Amino acid sequence: METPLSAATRRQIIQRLSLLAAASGLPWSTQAEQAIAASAPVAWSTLDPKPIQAVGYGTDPNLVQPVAEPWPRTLNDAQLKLLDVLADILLPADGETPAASQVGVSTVVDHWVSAPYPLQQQHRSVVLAGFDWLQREAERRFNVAFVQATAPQQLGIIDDIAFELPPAGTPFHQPAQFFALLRRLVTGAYYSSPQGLKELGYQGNVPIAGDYPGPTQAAMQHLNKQLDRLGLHL
Amino acid sequence: MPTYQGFDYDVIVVGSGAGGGMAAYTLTAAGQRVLMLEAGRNYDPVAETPMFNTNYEAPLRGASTFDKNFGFYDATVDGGWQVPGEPYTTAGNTEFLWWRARMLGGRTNHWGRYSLRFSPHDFKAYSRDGHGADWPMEYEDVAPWYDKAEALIGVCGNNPGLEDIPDSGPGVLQPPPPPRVPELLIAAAANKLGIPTAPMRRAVLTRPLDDRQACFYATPCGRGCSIGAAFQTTTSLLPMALATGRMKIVTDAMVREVHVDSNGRATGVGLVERQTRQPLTLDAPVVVLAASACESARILLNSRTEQFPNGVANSSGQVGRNLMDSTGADVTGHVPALEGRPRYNEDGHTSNHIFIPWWGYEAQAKGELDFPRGYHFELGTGFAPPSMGVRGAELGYGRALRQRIYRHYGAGVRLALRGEMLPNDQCFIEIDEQVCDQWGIPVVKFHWRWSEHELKQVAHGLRIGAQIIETMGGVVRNPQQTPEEAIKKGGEIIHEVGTTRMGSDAKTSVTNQWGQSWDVPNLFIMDGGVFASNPHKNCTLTLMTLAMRNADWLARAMRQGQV
Ligand SMILES: Cc1cc2nc3c(=O)[nH]c(=O)nc-3n(C[C@H](O)[C@H](O)[C@H](O)COP(=O)(O)OP(=O)(O)OC[C@H]3O[C@@H](n4cnc5c(N)ncnc54)[C@H](O)[C@@H]3O)c2cc1C
Ligand code: SF4
Repeated sequence: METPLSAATRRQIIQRLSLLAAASGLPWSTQAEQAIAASAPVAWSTLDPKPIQAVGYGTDPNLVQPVAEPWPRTLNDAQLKLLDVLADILLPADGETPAASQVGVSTVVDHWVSAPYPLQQQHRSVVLAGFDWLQREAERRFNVAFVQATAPQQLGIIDDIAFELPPAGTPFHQPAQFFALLRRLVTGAYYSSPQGLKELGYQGNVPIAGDYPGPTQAAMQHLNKQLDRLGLHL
Repeated sequence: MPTYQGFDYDVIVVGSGAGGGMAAYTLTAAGQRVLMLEAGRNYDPVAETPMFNTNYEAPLRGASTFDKNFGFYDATVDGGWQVPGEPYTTAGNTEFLWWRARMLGGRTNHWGRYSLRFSPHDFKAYSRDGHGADWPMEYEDVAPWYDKAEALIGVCGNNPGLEDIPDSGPGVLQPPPPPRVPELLIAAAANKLGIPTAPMRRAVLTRPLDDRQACFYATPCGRGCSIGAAFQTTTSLLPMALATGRMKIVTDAMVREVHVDSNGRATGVGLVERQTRQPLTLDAPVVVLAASACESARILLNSRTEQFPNGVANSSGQVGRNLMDSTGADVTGHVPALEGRPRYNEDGHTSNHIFIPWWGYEAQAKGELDFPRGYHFELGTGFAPPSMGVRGAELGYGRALRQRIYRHYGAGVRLALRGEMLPNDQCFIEIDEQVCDQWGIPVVKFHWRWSEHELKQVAHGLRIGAQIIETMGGVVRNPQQTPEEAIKKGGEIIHEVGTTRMGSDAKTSVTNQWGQSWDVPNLFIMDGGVFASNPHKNCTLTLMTLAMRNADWLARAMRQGQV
């Protein structure tokens, strides 16, 4: 069971850490960073990106041999670099398991935010504004671009926006909304890839000769255990 | 006998979907010659269905868009909530959604295939509770036709002996697939609450039938089914009717109006050829409208002349009135008992194997419920094909996020309420005099308002749905939602019916029980427009059963020279 730390507890921990740092004579920069982090973050600013001009795939596209990318991607190299870093914070490599950037997640997110549809265009303005906020916040805290910051520095910012949504009107509200959207896009792109299917253990989309067999023995054992635990009967 | 491009015909059938397909099949089987007019393009499910394609191969990983409202691979051609160049309008603060497709086979190419027959009391609900209207016949009159229709289209399911699910005849149903783990858990929770579950009846073959193969339990049915296991007219009724040599199909033929002579007989139809944009008049001894409930009513209303200023077949004033949809609402939740469970292939026939039929008859009869008609729950569960919608990705990052997503996969449940609404005066269509479609045809304007009956029913469903999820130890996702927030928009469940209702009195209905217009004896309606009420059991099986029964009656009447 994992119990995600709430943002509040994390902030308390960080504060405690910085006290600890002061007491233990850790390098000054860490203390200073913690102090800066605790002060007001940069303001969210809404960007008004140029609308996407491309057209969609229409109401009668070829479904059997789809054109995978009916419109051009639009993110620049710097944005893609940042996206790779963020994607790998969300889904880092883990043993045999590849990091998100290794399965082409950033390309999919780029394709997504470059789509000429209303929902995706709305996502585009949130994602671009989020990138902008992260850069400015990294510069405020560490005087470097987000991608140049150290991993702990990066996580220092991400911890402020990756957990439950801070109330509207508080400084981390919009950045946290951005990060929640990015998490949806990155996890969606990752888990709908062949690697993601394998990891989730999806076993369908294969034709079965004869009748559908239903649950396996192991699946039924799990069910029966749960039924017992809940006091339920079929 | 009129001729079109060298083809002689007795009857024009407008529309190739559920109603038109069944009407044409039955008429041709009985020896009649049919000219079928379909507004949409030709469509070949064998060549065009993306059976095993994965979301990975599709733009936006297959997600829904403005162009493809139910996802990239959904079989709908040139349609969805909007058809390009063919708008509809809504009155005042009305919200109504109208799903259409412009393709051979209409919406049967992608419908859910849920096929529940009505019960005896459904045909006489007005007599029971005083709301709406009775049907002009009894369940017993229709039951043999349900058997024939189910056997022909192929329905899997069983006879559980429940009031809400009348038995089909012996040997009619095909065996249902076994339930999946989350469905069994829901069944156990419902069981504890005294609520039944039963195999969903679906128009999906689990045994081969005619030229159609049995389901191989992969590939979502909403994309269509190239092997013919999931019923759609394009792999069954239409090829069968064509094989008789007595049908010709004309696609890209947008019917505008029915022509009626001064004696009040239909003489044919006027249409627009979509490719050339040219108008065309075709004569016909008999006209059958099956363009879908709202479209057939639109054709009748647009057929007005000096003699019939309110439209054809409308002396009752009921054309366009009594518009009904099903109520809809979702109760969703997360069930820890399903977390991290052993993986196996849960595709099955890619829809719910069991469901919760209506169980509240007794309570309703005793006056214990504050709403008059029933509902059922369709179940959404399982290890679905991964898409952009990932469960468990609500917060965090890193290894904890990965682990959470793994555990949450297949641990969500959705109870989708589908209920009966009552007809009311606020729900109807008329012609919008201000707006024409790209063919120059005046469009439909919708009026819509749910009544307190529907809201009370949904309130009950939200309570029960939450109880079921909590009994499984689950957490309801949105426990605070009010019925007003939860209820889907009018039309959103895509069971629109009633706009040309049948009855036993020409003053209060548009057709008799045979779908024959009271006013124009050689004009028939064979889609959902004829419904006198809209029981919670998804409308299409009944719509097709009536089309079969009524086309059979029509063929006999034609042979006897009575139409
Ligand atoms: C996603 C989805 C899921 C559904 N699931 C279920 C379910 O599980 N169970 C159920 O019972 N129902 C379900 N339905 C509803 C079901 O599809 C309809 O009830 C059924 O198709 C209606 O049959 P119809 O013949 O009246 O209309 P359609 O099947 O829509 O056919 C009408 C045809 O007429 C053509 N047409 C329209 N206007 C004209 C014109 N002016 N001239 C010439 N041709 C015209 C159309 O292009 C169309 O091809 C579902 C619908 C959708 C969209
Ligand atoms: S699940 Fe079965 S019925 Fe549905 S489309 Fe696939 S093969 Fe056809």
